[in-house]
Amino acid sequence: MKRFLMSRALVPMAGAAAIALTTPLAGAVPSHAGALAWGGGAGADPVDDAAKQAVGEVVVLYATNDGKGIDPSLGDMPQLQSPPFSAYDSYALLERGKVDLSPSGSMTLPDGGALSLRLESAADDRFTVVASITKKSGKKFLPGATVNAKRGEYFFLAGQRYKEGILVLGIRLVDKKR
Amino acid sequence: MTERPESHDLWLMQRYDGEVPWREGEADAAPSPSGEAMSASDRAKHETMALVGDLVRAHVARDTRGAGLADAVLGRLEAERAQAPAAPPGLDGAGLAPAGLAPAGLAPAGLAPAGLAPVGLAPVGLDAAGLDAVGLVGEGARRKEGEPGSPAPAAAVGNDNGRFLYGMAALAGLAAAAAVALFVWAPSASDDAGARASAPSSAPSSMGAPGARARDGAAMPAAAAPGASEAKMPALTAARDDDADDDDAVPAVEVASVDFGRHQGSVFYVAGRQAGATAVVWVNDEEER
Repeated sequence: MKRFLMSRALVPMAGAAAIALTTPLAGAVPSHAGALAWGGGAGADPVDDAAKQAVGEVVVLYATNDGKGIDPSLGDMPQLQSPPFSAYDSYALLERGKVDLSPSGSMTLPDGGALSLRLESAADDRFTVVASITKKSGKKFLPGATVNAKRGEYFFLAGQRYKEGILVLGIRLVDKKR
Repeated sequence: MTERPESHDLWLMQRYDGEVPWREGEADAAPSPSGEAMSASDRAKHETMALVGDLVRAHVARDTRGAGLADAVLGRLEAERAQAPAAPPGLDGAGLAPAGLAPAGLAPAGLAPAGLAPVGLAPVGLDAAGLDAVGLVGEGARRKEGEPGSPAPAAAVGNDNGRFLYGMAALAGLAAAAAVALFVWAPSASDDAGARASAPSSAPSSMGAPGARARDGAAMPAAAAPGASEAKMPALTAARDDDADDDDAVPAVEVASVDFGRHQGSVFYVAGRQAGATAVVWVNDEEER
C-alpha cells in the first residue's frame, strides 16, 4: 500500500513539476504566475509594482498611400520609412492614448475596436506585455501577442483595415509620471 | 447393463468393444437383437474387425510423427492455466486492497476507470455489487472471495496493478525529464534566431522568426498593403540581416509569441531609433474589406 501511495503521489507531483518548469518558456523573464511561484510570494509582487509605475503609451497611426508623407507631429520615428512600413507613403497621427496597466487595461480605437494590454512580468527596465485587439463587432482581430520590450521602446501592431488604409498602433511602456 | 441396440451390426460392434456383457466362450450370453446367437458371418466380421484393428495399430505404432503431441498440447494448456489467474483480477478484495484501489477516494479522477477497466472487469460476470466501480472491493467482491470457483489470486492482481502504476510513474518521470530539458534548452535557444522561429506554438507557420530582422527591400504582404505589388511581397519568415548580427545580445523588443487567431500574419524586426530593433506584428486583415 505504501509503495502504491508513493507511486500514486509521484504522478501529480511530476505533472506539477512539469507545468512549473515549462511555464517560463516564453522567455528569460518568468511569467506573472511564474514569478509568484519562484519566490515572489514573500514580498510585494513585482508585477504589481511595475504596473503602478508604468503605463502603456499608444500612438494610433493611419497609414495610406495618398502621398501626404509622414505626419510631423509623430516626431522621430525612422521605422516608418523602413519595410514593412514603407509600403505606405503616408502616416497620419490619429490619436495618442495611455493604457493603465493594473495589470491590464484597454483603450478604444478609431474604428470602435479596442486595444488591450496586460502586463505579464517586469524585471529591471524590461516588461513583458500581452497585447490584443478586438474589433467593434467583438471578434478578436489579434488574440494575443506577447512582447518583451525595453522601457520606452516602441513595438507595433499593424494591419487592421481602416477606411482607405490600415491602422498602425505604436506601443511602448513608459513611467507613469512621464 | 447396456441396452441392446436395434441394429445387428451395431450390436456386433458393441460386443467386439466389450460394451455388452459378452466374453469369449459366452457367445450366447447376449443374443443378437434378432435373438440369434453368433453366426459364422458374425464371427467373420469380428475377425475382420480384429484384423483391421491390428493393422491400424501397427501402422500408427510405426509412425512416430505424432509422438508426444498430445502431451505437448496438454502441457501447454496446463501451463496457461497455471499462469492465468483463476478469475480476472480486480474483483478480489484481497488483491485490490494492497494495490490501493480499494479506497475510492484515493484514486485520482480518471485513474480508476483507466486502471481498473483493463484489469478485467468485463468478462467476470459478477453481480452488480461486484461490478460497481466503488464496490470493487465491496460486498460483491468480498462475497466471491472464498467461495468455490471464485478465485482471484491476490499476488497476480497486485502484480498487474503494480506494473501499471510503475508504468505511470515512469511516464511521469519522463515528462518531468522532458520539462527539465526544455527549461534548460529554452534560454540558450533564445540567442539563436533560427531556433526561435519554432518557439511560439500558437502562431501559425507563416509567422516570421522572432529575433530575425526584415531584410531591406522586404515589403509587407500584398494583401495587407493596397498597391503593393506581388513581386515585393516578402517571404513570410523574416530574413535575418547579417549586418545586425553584432547588435545587443538582448534586443530592445522581442516578440515571444503571437496568436494570430483566424488571420495570417508576420513578425518583422525593423531597425529603430537607437541601436536596437523594434518589432512589428503585422496581421493580414482580409475580412470586412
